[in-house]
Amino acid sequence: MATIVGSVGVNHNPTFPAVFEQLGYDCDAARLYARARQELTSLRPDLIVIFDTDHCNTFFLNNFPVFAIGVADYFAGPNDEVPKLPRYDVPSNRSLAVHLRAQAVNAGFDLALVQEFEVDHSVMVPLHYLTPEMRIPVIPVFISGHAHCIKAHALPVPSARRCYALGEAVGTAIERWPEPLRVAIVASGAVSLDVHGTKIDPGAMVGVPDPRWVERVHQHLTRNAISDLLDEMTPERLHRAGNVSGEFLNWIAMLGTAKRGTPAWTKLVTEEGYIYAAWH
Amino acid sequence: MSLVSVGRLGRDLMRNKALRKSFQENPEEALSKYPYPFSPQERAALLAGDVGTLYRMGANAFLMGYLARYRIFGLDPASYSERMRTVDDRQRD
Repeated sequence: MATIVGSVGVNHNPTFPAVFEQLGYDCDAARLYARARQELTSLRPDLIVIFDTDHCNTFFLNNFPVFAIGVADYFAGPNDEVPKLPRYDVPSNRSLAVHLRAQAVNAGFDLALVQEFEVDHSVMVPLHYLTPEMRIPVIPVFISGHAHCIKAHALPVPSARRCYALGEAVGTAIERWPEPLRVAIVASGAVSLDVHGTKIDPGAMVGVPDPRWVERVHQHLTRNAISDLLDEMTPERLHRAGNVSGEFLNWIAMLGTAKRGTPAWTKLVTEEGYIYAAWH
Repeated sequence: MSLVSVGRLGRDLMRNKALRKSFQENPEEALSKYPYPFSPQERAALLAGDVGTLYRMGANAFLMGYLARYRIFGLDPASYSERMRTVDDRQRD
């Protein structure tokens, strides 16, 4: 039987590769990502399932699923322009991905089938820092968490409870897999962040419109108050927190995969809209 | 829905350096040769760098941001930010 051995939550800031090269790997953000890598390495995973939100690079406006899963032997990325981030081929596990998809569909989650695909920085920045050798197979599960359109109905974001339940279904499916794999879950995304939208900072292309929400989420995580978090993560709150704040739905799904209590490590970076965390 | 074309232009500018260069050098001519359709209102707003109007019309903000990143239609981060920040999107439909 496969076992979920732990989880790691990170952001996917596409400027980090260039910033780290410029500032050095002892800068704060690089040290945090190095710590996240230590946390993941300590889990000794045989396979990673990453919950991710695509930025119109795997999918596009003419074909955009709310939930999807990558089913392939390999995938490649990044397929967007990320300075100083190498292009990688990442091994995956087609058989397990097929199993996860079938089990999820049976549980009521209609994961779109994605084959022969590439991914963008939202998968590759975390993998570049967490598993730079790219030897551990990775299965991406995509959640449409961005609200980049003023017409909200055009790109609906799923609810927090729905994403938590998706995580539960994926977790159950992993534990039904007959091979004795050690599976780590990774969640990719920010808590409060606006990118190219109406809540960006003056003179900038991004902003952190709701730092209090970042602190509130961190408080709930450290207290393992997941039900409170799900109650408070409403569409209205996400709207105030910025147009990519729905990336935290990836974390919600991660939390649903296994009930692991309080995190072993967290780091709150309020001014950037981020949290780093690990569960063992 | 031609607003998809606005998003497609943003992604193409990110991925295609030759296209990017053509839009930087002569945006009006490059837009006229771009193979995907735009309404007259979208074309006028693009050429004016009026991202606020395009966003109100329903364009995808993330993809539109590439226009400022690559300095297309007279945009840069400062002007892009100023124009997007004037949009009140509290009454989203």
